[in-house]
Amino acid sequence: MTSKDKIIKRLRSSGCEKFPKPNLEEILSHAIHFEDALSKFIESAKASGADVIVDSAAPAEGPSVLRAEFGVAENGAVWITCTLDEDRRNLFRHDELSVILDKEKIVDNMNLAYKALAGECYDYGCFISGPSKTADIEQALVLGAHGSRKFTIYIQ
Amino acid sequence: MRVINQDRVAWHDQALWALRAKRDHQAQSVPEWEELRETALKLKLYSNSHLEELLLQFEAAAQKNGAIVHWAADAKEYREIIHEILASHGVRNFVKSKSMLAEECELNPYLVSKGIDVVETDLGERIIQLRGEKPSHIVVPAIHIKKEEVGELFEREMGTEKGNSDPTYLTHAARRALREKFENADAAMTGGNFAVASTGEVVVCTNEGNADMGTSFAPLQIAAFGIDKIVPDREALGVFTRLLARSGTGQPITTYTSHYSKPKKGSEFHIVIVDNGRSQILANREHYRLLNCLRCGACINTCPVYRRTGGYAYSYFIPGPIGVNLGSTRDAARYHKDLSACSLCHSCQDVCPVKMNLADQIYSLRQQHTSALSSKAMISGVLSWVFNHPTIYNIALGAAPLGTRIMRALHIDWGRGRRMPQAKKRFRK
Repeated sequence: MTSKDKIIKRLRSSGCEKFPKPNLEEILSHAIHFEDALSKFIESAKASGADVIVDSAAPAEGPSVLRAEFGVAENGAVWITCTLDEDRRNLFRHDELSVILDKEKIVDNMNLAYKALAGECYDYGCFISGPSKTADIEQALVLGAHGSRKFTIYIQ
Repeated sequence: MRVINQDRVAWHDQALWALRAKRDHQAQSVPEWEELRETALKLKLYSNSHLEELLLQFEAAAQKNGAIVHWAADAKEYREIIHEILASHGVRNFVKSKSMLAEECELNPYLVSKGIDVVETDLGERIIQLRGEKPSHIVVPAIHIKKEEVGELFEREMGTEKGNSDPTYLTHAARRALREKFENADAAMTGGNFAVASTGEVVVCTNEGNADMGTSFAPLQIAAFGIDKIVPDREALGVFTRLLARSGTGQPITTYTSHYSKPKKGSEFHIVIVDNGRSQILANREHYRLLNCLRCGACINTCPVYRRTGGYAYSYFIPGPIGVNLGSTRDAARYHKDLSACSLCHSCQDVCPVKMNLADQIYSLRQQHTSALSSKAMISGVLSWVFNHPTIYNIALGAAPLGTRIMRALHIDWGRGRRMPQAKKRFRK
């Protein structure tokens, strides 16, 4: 018997009561909503340590300037997917990372964010909120642990 | 008797309470917080009671993505699978991001004994590794260590300036030292916060970016997680990602929420699904809900016993309310003493993002294992007799201050911080 069979057999014979799958539509309809999602996004992104620049010229896309697909107002995170392995490395290796975000593409909360991603296909995707950080030494917040030390969002 | 450093106890208590306060602030900023917790609980009850079908669905989707899926029935098999993957690729330099499963299965000592250089890359874990210690907390593993101690450690290990214990300076020194490790790594490994059954992707939440520095540079990637990390679909992630970091570190979301779906070009992505006793917990009528845990650390941060004693006071490798429960449910003979590390204040239940009844379960475990706690049973017996005899009770009460004085005279620390204030007026004759 393979370990897979063994584990599946153990699970089948656990006798655990079967609970139904909850309907997530309800929490989706009750999830936090913002009248001005853009302002909330900017506030949340700044709180995460990001620099936010609105309506001014963004640098050209390149190794340290990537395009975000959408932003999340409740936490200031942006969603980025990578097809190229080089881009995956670029998201983390540079001291300064910038992303360009369309101001129309901001959702209120993570429930809506994942609803939008439900049918999507990607090799790698990441929600990023602010520069890399740590508080592992006496809970003192330090920016620039392993990933970017500075994170700028250009909203257009 | 070990002398307790009161300043250090207060410092540790404050550091943890600050996390709890940040958690409260975040929870209060989400009006539907309680509904989110309720939904998270229902999702976990669903996924853990349908693990066999969700795991098979996950496997099929992950294989379709191009990942190689392994199953490990126990810790030994987990260690052997990972070593086999590394050995077959000739891996010498191995970078790891934080994984409590690796702690549970004692992966590092095994790999080191096989000649593999294992480097922990989370800053807290790296500090712990260089000190030859174990994590004292599941989310903030080095919370018990002072910055001066980190300064001395880094001075020895990384050649930082003597006497410099500035957290920014030390963090950036570690960043430089670990960059070299990332760039030369033959393989990188992560745990998994969530494994999505419908898509076969593994989701890892970090603040430092170490999981991604490792996995995006190294030519070989491994992700290993317990069967309880399965979530049905991405919509479920919408619930859990709103709760996880808010509950644990008091952030609205971790800096990085990475979704690993396909292997990098020309490289392999191995996924190891681990049971190691989880299916037994599922079969335990009283305690199967322990599998719902997200490992956020909220119950540990709020626990008054943990805050004052720290992680090393517990015998099980996970401290605090969740560790007390898991240890005693897995192996009561070995870990039942941890059951006394609870004041039944129930604060853990109030903060748990999946509404686990941690304190109630500790109470129930205590009832099951009272014979194991004979000293406790004896104390309870004597006290019950004292309380039932008013004369004895009054004599005992009168003698109590004398008792603490005797203890102080004998340099027994127990009475410290527990001195009775001088009463101005007596209420009882």
